[in-house]
Amino acid sequence: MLKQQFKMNRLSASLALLMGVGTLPLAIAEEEQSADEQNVEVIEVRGIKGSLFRSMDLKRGSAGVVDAISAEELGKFPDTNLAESLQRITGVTVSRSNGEGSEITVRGFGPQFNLITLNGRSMPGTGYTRSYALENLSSESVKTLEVIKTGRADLPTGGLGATINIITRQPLDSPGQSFTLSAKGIYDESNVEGDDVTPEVSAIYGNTFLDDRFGFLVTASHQERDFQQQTANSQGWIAQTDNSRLPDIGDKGVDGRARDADGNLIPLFRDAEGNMVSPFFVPRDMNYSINDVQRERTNAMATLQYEPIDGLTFTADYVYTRALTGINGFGWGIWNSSTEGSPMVGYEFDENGTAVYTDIRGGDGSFTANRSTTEVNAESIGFNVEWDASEDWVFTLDYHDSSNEIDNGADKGLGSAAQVILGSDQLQSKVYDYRSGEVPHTTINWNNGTTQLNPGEIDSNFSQFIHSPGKTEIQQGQLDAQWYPSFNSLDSLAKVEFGAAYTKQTMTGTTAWSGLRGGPGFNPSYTEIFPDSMFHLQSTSGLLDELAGGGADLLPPYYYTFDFDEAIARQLAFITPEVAGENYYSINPYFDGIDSSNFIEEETYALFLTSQWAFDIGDIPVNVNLGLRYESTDVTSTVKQRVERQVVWASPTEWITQYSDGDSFLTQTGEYDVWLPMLDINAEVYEDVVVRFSASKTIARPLLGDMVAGRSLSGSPKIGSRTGFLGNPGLLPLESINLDVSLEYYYDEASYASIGFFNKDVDNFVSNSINQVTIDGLHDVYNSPRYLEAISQLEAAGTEVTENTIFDQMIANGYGNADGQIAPLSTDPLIVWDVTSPVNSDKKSVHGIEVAVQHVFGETGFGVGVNGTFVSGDVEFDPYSLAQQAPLAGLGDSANFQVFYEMDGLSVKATYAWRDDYLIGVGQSQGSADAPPQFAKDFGQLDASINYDVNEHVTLFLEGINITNETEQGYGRFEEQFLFARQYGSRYMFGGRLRF
Amino acid sequence: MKISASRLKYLSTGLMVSALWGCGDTNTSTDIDSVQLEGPSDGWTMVWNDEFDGSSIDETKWTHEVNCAGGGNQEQQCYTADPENSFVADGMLNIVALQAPDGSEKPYTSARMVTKDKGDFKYGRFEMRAKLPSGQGSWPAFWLLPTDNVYGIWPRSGEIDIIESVNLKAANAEGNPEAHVYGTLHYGREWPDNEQSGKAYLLPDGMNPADDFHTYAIEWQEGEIRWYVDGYLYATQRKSEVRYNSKDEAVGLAHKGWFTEFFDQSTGEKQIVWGTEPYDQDFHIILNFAVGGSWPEAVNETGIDASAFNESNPYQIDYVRVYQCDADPDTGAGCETVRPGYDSPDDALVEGKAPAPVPPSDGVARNLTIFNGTANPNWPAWDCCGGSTPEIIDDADKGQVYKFVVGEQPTVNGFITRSAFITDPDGSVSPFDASPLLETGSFSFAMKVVTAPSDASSTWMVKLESNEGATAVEIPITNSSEGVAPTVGQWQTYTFPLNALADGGLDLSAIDVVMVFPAWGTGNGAEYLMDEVTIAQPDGALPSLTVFENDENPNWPMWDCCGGSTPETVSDDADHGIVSQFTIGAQPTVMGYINRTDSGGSGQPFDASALLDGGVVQYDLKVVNGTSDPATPWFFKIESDNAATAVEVNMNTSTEGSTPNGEWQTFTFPLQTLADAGLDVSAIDVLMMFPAWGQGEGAVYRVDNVKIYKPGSDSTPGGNVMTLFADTVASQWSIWDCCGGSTPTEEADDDAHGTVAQYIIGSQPTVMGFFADDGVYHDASSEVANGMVRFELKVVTPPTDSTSTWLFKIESGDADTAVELPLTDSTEGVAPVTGQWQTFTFPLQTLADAGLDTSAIDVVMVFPAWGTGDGAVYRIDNAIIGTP
Repeated sequence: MLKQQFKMNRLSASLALLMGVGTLPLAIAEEEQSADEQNVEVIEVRGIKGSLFRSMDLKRGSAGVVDAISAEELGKFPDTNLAESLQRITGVTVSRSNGEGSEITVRGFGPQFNLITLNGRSMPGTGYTRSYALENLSSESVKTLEVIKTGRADLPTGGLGATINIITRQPLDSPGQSFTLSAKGIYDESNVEGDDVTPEVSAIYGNTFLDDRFGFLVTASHQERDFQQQTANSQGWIAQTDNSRLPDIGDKGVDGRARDADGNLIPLFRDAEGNMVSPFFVPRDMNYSINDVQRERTNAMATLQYEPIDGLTFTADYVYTRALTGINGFGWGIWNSSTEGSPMVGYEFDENGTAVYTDIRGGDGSFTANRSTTEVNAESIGFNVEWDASEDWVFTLDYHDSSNEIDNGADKGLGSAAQVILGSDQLQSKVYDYRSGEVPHTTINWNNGTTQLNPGEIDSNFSQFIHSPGKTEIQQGQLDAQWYPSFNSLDSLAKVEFGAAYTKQTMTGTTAWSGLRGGPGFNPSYTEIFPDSMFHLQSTSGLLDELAGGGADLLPPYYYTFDFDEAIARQLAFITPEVAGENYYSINPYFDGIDSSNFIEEETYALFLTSQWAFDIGDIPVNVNLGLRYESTDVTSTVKQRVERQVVWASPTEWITQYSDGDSFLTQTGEYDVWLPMLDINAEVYEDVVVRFSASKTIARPLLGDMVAGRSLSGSPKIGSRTGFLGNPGLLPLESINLDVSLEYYYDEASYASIGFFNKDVDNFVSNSINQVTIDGLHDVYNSPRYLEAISQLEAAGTEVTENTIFDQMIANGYGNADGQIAPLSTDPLIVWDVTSPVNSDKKSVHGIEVAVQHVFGETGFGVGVNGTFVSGDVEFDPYSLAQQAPLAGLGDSANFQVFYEMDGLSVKATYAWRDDYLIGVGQSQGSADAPPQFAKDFGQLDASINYDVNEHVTLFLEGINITNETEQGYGRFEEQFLFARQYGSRYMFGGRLRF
Repeated sequence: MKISASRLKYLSTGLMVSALWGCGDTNTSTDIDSVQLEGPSDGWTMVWNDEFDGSSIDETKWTHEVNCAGGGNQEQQCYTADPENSFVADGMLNIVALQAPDGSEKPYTSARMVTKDKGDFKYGRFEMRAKLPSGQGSWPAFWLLPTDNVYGIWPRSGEIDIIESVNLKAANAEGNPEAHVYGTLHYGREWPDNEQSGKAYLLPDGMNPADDFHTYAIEWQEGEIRWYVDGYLYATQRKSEVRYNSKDEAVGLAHKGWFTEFFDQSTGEKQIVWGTEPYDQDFHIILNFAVGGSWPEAVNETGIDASAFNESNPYQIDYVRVYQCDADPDTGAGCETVRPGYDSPDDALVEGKAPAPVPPSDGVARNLTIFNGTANPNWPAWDCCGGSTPEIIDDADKGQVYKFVVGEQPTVNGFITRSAFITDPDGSVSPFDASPLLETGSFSFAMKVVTAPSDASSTWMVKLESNEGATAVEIPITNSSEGVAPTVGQWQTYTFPLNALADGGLDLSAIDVVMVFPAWGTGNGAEYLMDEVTIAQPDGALPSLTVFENDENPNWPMWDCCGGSTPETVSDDADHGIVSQFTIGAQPTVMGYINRTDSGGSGQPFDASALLDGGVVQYDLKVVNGTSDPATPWFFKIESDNAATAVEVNMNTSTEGSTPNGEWQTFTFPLQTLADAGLDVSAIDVLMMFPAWGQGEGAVYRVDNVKIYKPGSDSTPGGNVMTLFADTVASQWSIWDCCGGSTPTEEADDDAHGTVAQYIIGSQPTVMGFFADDGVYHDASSEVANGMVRFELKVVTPPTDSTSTWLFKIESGDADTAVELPLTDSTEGVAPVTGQWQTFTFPLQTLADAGLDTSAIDVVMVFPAWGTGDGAVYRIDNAIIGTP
């Protein structure tokens, strides 16, 4: 242990130097405890400054580029939500769900490119995602969050952008009894339906026994939150390049697109074939909604540790999370059945052809209720043995079995997520107007002569019920050996670590969809089945009032709500098979069976070797970390689908695919192996100035949706049209070669400035490609011996050879079956299909600069922190191209600003996190085939907190989230192509913490 | 701190336990079963009620009607205010019918209580919980009468019977206890032309309303009244729904409901109204228990069982409640308690008795033969009131003629086309629109008086009625153009110019009765014969048929009976253009044109009756390849009514007398000649031209210009057809994808179809078809009677969703009206078969009846049901609207 101790001391020494002994009044340097730590010094300090200091220390002491946030003490993490915490870190941005940070993007790489591990373990994601959902874990139980931006051979792979490791407390970390109880009330100003103040309670209890050789730590937390989400939303934009589809309606049509001297449109856009075009863009719909959400999360963790003899520690842990989210929503809006042609009776296009105003006949206006309760149950059981076998060797064995189940059918009376759409098509026209304000307005000119539908005119449109439960499981075993060699000849080699890991991840999911029950549309009409008293007229004057054009200005000024149960019950009672035939009403998502069912299994074997070197070049201490990881992955995917039996030539012009009875399961497999080298070098070139260089290769595993097996072939595969789609479990992971250079100046206690440059070259991006494949058992009459025989007969007879004559000749030759069709023979060649599949294709490059400054103003109690990340990539979305594009989503600049004051037990902190406009993704749910983008507008959020230590045991606090009630907004190709605006309100939490 | 720390341990454990188990209640918890679906719904607020919980009848609510009038039904009770007949006890109102003391004015006493001027209501839910009395002759009721008779005396201001019953528990025809209850409306013209409509209802499980308490209710709102027993809706009645065309002309009834007739305040004219009247005024409640009367006494065990009327058989009423619909008290709408079938004529919806409005004339002059030697099934001969049945006899001069007699009972005789009198299953109500004949037409008939009325002073009258008697004209026979009175024993013709009849007040547009008779009550002993009864003009518009001219008439496809060939169209010389070509092989066969559905025709045989005088069948024929024996004769054969009659003639018997050869020649056959040879010209369905059976091998011949018409008449063969698509789409129309984002294309199909419209449906739900440009509408209203929407469809690739069904939808007036039907509801009645061209026909009449305003058609769609069409590829050709 001498070597180890030496390394520790090197760090400790620098720490001591930095901090100065006793300069932080609340700092308690626990030297003895730190001796148990292997590599990273953790010093329990309290207060904001202490937290900043420790984070800085982690950053400084790491081999690669690592940022961290740590709890200053048991049960006190700086933010209530782990994702919110992470956005404090340079280069990390969060995307929000329901006004809370939910998923993280690191240096422009979105959630699917990052890996979140819990104590170094890969954890199952919720649903078909690979990311562990941060919001499912209470922050109270977390000790440290590490964001590792460079490659590390000893970590599970998948973090192409970064690996986020959540470290929880271990009982033997803090001997003796400890107890923390924290209780707070969450006041969400958006709340309407639920409780205005909801509780969050958490407790941590730990104790050690048997001379601190046995210990346990239990944490439990329960959080409830009720809030309302207000949104305005358009599901997509329809691009039309054929301007003959634009009706000539005189001065009711305003077209702001530029024209040349001859009055012809000057094309600004390029279509998929590269032709210059002048499209116009019209929204498919516009709707507004209010969702009242009730959420509750229960999280518990229990850890037992036993150290029977010195150097041998057994740890068992169990983590449990149950999250319930209940949503009752109402939406209302318009649907444009047509976005062109004669139904268009008024329009105004801006210079890009974007409709900022339309008046369109037909379609409908609707009032939609949606309801669901989603339950997530996550469990993890783990076991760990760490054995300091000798002074030179430490062995660690770690195993866990974790699962994450999601069920969107937890509503007790539904068993599904449901949407009930009522409305009417008894309208003259629908007006969409986004000529001013931040929210488009809509007005429906109803047939009743007004712009308001009467309750008695509200009709049944359709309802749909979806149940799509899923489960993800991971079993993972990791064996790790650390060797601290004592070669006199190789003094600079500090440590060698090697190990092996086995990971098996399975994901299963089914989807059952009822279809459109009740039959879509308003013919026949069922207005009479709903008593008018069922509908309650509501004003929109209080909605979206943080947005220009919202609140009292919002159009439409009204909407209707209705009792969800009653709407279903009345339709169920009335729209029976006798009345509606096959469209009859049912709430059963399994109405026509399971719509899809699939399964993916990934098995990975990994081996790794790393070495740490420490030496001096002149006076400059240099640390080098050199490692290599090898992984081999097998993928199996199985889906339920129809099985093609054969393709018959049914008539001269018809080829028909025939299917076997019943469904069957298609299994596809894939495999890949990767070598992942890494190199970190850091050197303290000058006192307190650290230079760092890292090079590594990291991977991100392919999207699950692309990997799901599943093949569909054309049902009418004429010659030249033998097409299909095939999922690709054989997709390779995305590979990134990362280069990082950084310069860090730790100029004062808890103060530093750093600047870093990074470059990532990412290969194997996924795009769709068409391949020619054959499928066993599917033989081709085309070019079969019989086919060729017919041709030669025709040629011999001097008859023109056409599809018709060949067919007739083959029939004449007696090859027709009872139906007069020509069926293939097993001796015929296999059909060559043009199958579209997601494949690994192009390469993208991202580079950027990260800067961070953290400064504490001496003993004044004031401090400030600023960081910013400026990224750019070589593939950005071009709004003027209608071709399919595959840019890097999520790329954008971000910055954080933090000020605090801390003195005499009072601390006040304000943080502002800002994220620039960024591309959310490509494709809109009701957009046209050109796959238009979704962009988010820049967003900044101000949070603040006040903590007061009443005494040693009691702290009171008040926190405010999104104090300025900022809204989130999104758009399509241009800001004028409105997609969404969301308003959640501010949240305040107040409470106290008790600790012993 | 030691102590508190150990306490904390327990506290913390407890907290964790509660944190883990004290949660999990977040759930949206849908509970559909808890929804109360039976009425009254939330929207109903009680505005008036009597629970009868007091000790006496509340006179602020009820008035006793005291009289012995018999209720207009010859009832046998006197209504009293005597507590013996009506009293409150034990929370119930009891109405008891008792036998009256001897010498009373009527044999029974009972009570009738009304809320008039104390509880008067327009619209609402009226509910009573009651147990009804039983016994032969018992007639309890809970009903409403108008308070102010705004539309005139009974029943023009209406009557609503919420519930009534007669003779409960008395034996019915099968010997079982009577158990019906009735919900009825009374309305219409003044007595005795009043109408009623309603429904009888039996409680479930054989329950008898006299055994226990049940809840009886109506929900009455503007234009609709629904009847309920114990919450079950068993009857719905509605106002009549008049169908208007785009010119705002009433053209029929979409729903035959109630009506009334009153004097228009502004014009002073009596008129029928099809609106919410008379059920849109204040009504009041009546509770009564009648004894006997014309209805109960006539049914079940008949008469009155005196033993049933005593204290132990009361009409017991627990409560009467009136609710108002808060949603819209002005219309009472918005609180409906309905169930499936409530608006279905097969279930709860009761058809009313409103007369149909007369459609405006289509302006086409047609002649009508009411009788000329053969009975017209639409116009039976009729004796109004004398009880005789006019019969057809043989007259020496005229052949088959109708004989009418008048006996002691006053009556009138004539011909009528009203449903009550049409007995022939082939007959239908056919009011005749003579308005286009106004200037030149006349009503005329031949009559021979066999025996004059015994009353010598009797005068002969002529009367015509229109629109179920809404207008009529009655004039002496001497007003005819001939100006003569009948002479016994002589056939005489009488002619009445229509304009004179119109001047006399007759609405010419819906003539439905013609009468000739000795003046009312003076005709006894008269016997007279009638013939040649027509409403006509000398040269009226005549029907015509084009079987083939330049192209095949899809109603009349070319046909090879038995040879297995498919006759084709070929291009001939400039004069003839596209012509039919028939090729006869070794197999003996005949060829020509056929209208029967099993051979691909439309199944709409041609009625050439009106062409008998001067009409012809005519065609051009050219022989391309002769038969092996040049002497083989050529024949023309014509069949009618599925070969019920047929005539086959040598072509050389045509008017031209020529024999087919290598040149185009015309062949003409007068219809009269064919009729004389036995052809029923009223249902012509096959025309054949062929060389003699079995001798035609090798013959190739062409036929063109095949028509049935009257040469020289101004009717030109060929109907009013709007072609939506044939090789290209109609101008100002487009082939259209509603919502899928695709652009349908024109594609080349087989030779027979040439260019066709092709539609491809993707994952986006959509409908497709033909779409008129903005402001463009097709008016097919004049073609409703005989016209159709017809198209050919070939499904190239069916939708991936095998459960998808194919639909036809047509819209009018920017979707003001629309009709959607499965393709299987077409005349052909078949579903599309993949890969085959099939014809689908929807008669315009059917579409109009389903609610389509045929005057402004602007969208025609054919598509797999919404959202199920993904993957479908289909083609449409030869789409038309009109009468081909």
